[in-house]
Amino acid sequence: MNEPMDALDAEILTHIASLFDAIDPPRDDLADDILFAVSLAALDTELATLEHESLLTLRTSSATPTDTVTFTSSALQLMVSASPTSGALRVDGWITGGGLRVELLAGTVSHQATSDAHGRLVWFDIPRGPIRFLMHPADVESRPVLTPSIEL
Amino acid sequence: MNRTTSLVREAATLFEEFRDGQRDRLDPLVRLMTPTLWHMARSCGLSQSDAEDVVQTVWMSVVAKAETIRDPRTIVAWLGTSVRRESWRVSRERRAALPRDTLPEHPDPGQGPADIALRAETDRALWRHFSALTPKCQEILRVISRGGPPDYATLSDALGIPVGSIGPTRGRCLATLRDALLADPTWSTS
Repeated sequence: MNEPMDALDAEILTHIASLFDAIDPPRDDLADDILFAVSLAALDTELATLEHESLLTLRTSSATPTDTVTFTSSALQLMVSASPTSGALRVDGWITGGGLRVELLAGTVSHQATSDAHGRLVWFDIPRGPIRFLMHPADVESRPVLTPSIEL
Repeated sequence: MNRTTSLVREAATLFEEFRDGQRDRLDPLVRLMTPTLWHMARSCGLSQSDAEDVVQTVWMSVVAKAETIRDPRTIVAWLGTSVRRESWRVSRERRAALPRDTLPEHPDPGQGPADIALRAETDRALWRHFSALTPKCQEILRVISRGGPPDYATLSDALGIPVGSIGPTRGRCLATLRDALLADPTWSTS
């Protein structure tokens, strides 16, 4: 037991490592997702609140009317709804202000949109799954606002 | 696996540069250490999604507390301790949430040879003998194996795995496995 390790020990440990690489590896993009989450956390953001905590899922089946979810922060309000298009979703938004940049974050992918003069926003081809929004106030001095995740 | 530089030393260098202001050094540091931390969380019996959450939580706290980690050579120990502590906390929560009579003997056996086709007979032999070890020994060997040849001893030392468990001397867990493998004609070195 207290003999020094030899080449066979190293061989066994290498074999153990390759066994677990084969049967139970971390998924390939785990580090990417972690780095993305860390970079979001590092942004000095304000967290918006969801108006109705129960509305964590946006129902998008054609049988039911589409829910609208409202996020509120100190300076901005964002309402979103989603509707199915072929294979993916269209997400419509309305924000309190024109010319505001809003990112729809799906996984590590950011879909950008800028509100029109009436505050309207639209994102196309959004896959189902958890999403959140990052709102950039017009005043560059103000902090960006991050919403909680909702499920599409 | 056949790293030429030490995992522990490389992590220390990257962390020191990150802490001292080169924020882009976080990227290679996370890529370097995440697989090892994942194997550690999984060997604590966590499900895949819990293991991912634990690893992410620990990286968040590295970023938040980087300034307080004075000696960069302790980063691997810091990560290892944090992952194990957080893993135990999550598994306690999971167990508390289960009704008593459904408490499984081993909360998450993970994937076994029944679920996956191990490529070679020698892999199946290794899996069989590895599975017969105590859970503690399985945890130690699974985690330490991530170090690669130059680093088994350094990694066990950095992770606070008791001296003598493994490297520089062979240790009980590895000795048991080695004896079993040597007695099994279906196991061979590659």
